[in-house]
Amino acid sequence: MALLGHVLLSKQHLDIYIGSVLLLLLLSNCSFSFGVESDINCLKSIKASLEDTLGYLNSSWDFSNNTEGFICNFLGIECWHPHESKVLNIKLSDLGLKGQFPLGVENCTSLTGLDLSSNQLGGPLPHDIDRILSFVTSLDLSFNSFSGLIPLKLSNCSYMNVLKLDNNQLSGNIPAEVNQLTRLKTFSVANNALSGEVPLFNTTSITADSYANNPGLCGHPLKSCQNKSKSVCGPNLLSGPVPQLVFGADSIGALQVNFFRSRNGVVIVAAAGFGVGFALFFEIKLQ
Amino acid sequence: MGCRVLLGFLLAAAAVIASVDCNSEGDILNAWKTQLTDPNNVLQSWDPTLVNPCTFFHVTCNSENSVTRLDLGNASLSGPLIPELGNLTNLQYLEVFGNRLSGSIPNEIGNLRNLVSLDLYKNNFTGRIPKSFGHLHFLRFLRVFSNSLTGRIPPNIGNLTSLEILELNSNRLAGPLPFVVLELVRFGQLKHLDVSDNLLAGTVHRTNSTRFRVTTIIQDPQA
Repeated sequence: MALLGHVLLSKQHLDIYIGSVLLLLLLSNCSFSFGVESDINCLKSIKASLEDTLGYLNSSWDFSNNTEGFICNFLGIECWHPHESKVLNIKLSDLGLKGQFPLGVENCTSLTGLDLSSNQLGGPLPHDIDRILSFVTSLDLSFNSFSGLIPLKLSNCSYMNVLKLDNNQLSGNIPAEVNQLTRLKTFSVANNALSGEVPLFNTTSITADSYANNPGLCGHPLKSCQNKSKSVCGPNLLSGPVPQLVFGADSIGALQVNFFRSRNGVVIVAAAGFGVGFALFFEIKLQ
Repeated sequence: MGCRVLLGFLLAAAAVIASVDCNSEGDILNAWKTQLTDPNNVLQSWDPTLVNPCTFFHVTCNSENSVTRLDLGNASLSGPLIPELGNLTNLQYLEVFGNRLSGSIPNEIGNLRNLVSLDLYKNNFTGRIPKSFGHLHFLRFLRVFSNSLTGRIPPNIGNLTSLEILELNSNRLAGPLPFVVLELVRFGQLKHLDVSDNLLAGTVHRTNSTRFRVTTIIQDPQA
């Protein structure tokens, strides 16, 4: 061991030592490259996995002419440097794209922004989204038809500043760990089918608007999550059509709770209220 | 006597308040609904008795309860676009593509100064492209392809420096392609321009700019 150390540190072997290290570096694979090859594969994969109903990717994403930085002229692609095929942002909003979340984005290893909003994408969000979008600061998937859960591992995307998942069909809970995204400035999950308690955020930039139109969500800044069995929206004991009833003052209170789900019920209760009101009015007037 | 004056005043005040429309955007959409034939009942949730249209399906509002998006693509709707739609001043996305809408495109659409995306494609619109489109300074997507539009391409579309995608193909547009529109590739944001399958004539000037990319062929009936 000491002999080996002596050999390595001796000056006459130093140049051999440096030479072999350099050779090793040269022979090593893409992990030391500047992401060019993988970024091109990333875009090829995105194009292959999405249905391009309006033909934009088909006409603009031409992989046959592969000069340096050729992908930088592709529709929706922004590069770090104009003559180097390293993708900075992908902005494919409102291009009539169909299909599922393009998992090939994983190979755009220098990606900071992904905007797939206002398309016809659907299916689930990938559960290992932190591996696919490690350094992304802005993710906009709004106005699509994504369904299923918000991935728990989204909380590992620590550079996230803007997270827009609104106007989809996401369901289940918002993972509480999303509050670990300390750089989050814009967060919206409005207009989904989410439920349960919302995460506890420290920042003031996340208001009730972030959660709008998810009737099942509760917790500050929304209404508090009360015990389900006492909630007005609990299960009804009555079923079937609302029956016609003779209106008596003592039965009104009992009927009201069960009629929230029935439109006819609201009309009947209103009519009952009027009936009682008129009766009382004339009674009082005649006195 | 005093009672009658007071009553009259109250009635007048009530009339004034009633006429100052608290629900003008909802009224616009409901007025439009009455002119549309909706075989798939996509507009079923559009209820004139509601306070604002923000709970209507396919309508999106901002935090001030003003309409920002109409998403009615591929909904089998037929009927016209009404001029009153131009009063939805905060509208950013007008998505009515893939329907059977007909009639001409109202000039009032040019009043939608916040419009970002105007998708009228794959319908049966006739008449001209309104000159007022030149006022839509935030427009990024203008797609009116696959209609029966006639007349010339208004040169003031060349004012739309934010325009990224311009698709006028598959219509019956005549006259030249205005050079200022083509210049949007160099001086604006235009990345995709399609005027194919029309009745256009005239010369398209070449440029040496490497970012110049016309993706489709201009059809010249005189050639």
